[in-house]
Amino acid sequence: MIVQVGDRVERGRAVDLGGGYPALEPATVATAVREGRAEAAGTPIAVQARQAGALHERVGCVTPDASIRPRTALAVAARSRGWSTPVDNALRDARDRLATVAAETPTGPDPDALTARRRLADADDEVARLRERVAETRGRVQAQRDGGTESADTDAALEDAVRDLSEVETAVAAAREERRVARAEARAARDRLEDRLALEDEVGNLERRARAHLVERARDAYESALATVPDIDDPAAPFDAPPDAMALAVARVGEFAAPVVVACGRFADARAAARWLDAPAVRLEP
Amino acid sequence: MLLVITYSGPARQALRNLCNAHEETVVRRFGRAALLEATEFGAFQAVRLRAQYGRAVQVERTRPFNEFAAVPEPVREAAHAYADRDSPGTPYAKFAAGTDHPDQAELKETEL
Repeated sequence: MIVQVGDRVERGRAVDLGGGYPALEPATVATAVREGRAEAAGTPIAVQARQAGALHERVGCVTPDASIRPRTALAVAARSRGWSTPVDNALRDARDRLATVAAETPTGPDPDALTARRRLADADDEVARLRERVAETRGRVQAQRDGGTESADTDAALEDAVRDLSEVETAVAAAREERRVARAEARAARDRLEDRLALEDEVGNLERRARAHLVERARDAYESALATVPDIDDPAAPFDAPPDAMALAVARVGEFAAPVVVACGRFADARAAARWLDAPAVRLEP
Repeated sequence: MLLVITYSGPARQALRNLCNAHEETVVRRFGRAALLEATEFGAFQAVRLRAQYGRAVQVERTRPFNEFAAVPEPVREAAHAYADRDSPGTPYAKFAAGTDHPDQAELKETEL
């Protein structure tokens, strides 16, 4: 690899960015490994190395406070060695089916249904309001008749109210039909969403089985690696050891093309780290 | 009450979180569905989930079911007679044939 920090250039399988360099954030250096370049407090860092894979995301940056999910990372390490599992075919198949279903099932907001609900509620309110108006006007007409003071204006007002009511009732019928259609469409869409959810669950279950298989298979190698991590106290639980030790052990089990960023203080120099990991390494002071 | 049914992983998780955070609002939970109290807070949560997850959230308003108010007498009688039948293996269509009980196809076509 070739690492350039500011105007200084380092080459080789093991690169020390410890003494003599300004303090660099390990995460920034790891970003430079993955993306080719990064910037640390105004200093550009450029790394030319082979492409980082999925394992680099998991344990490509070893620090004492790294957050690591050791089992998941170990399964990724096993994959980096090209290991497969008995459920891989089923998993590939389920993922393909899921991709097909997912492309066909819209999630997210449903504006047609929203509009239909609002229109129906508004129309219902309007009907209630107009029914009141009709009843009230009819009462006035009746009172005027009883009192012998009929008025053409009141009769006309009643006619208007009745006509408006009839129009709005037609609108309500249309809004109900609109909602019925929207509900039928939503029901069909939910049938497909249900298929999709079942497939997602199936993929999730297969992924867990694949992970369990890989972890089981890589477990011995992982425990041996963990036991030889420099300066480690005998770990009681292999998946509950110090995070940097677990990350190192996982990294040793896996195969790296891109350099591992090591900033844990467990190695005297970058060469020792690269040798122990059997991978290219960049070492920083922790 | 408000029946909320979810149809995607994220919506299901959101409903789970809601059930854990607001037990007093949740009348009953079933896998990826839940019955919420008919309070403004229950409605607030239902509307929020629907706004967030759209098609993946179905909300229905439930009412108590009173068969004496909602169901015609012949249907009720048929239901009781069928529940009391002598041979448990008899399907309703066969049970109703040749009796005064309503026909199964007719029942399916008639809305409440």
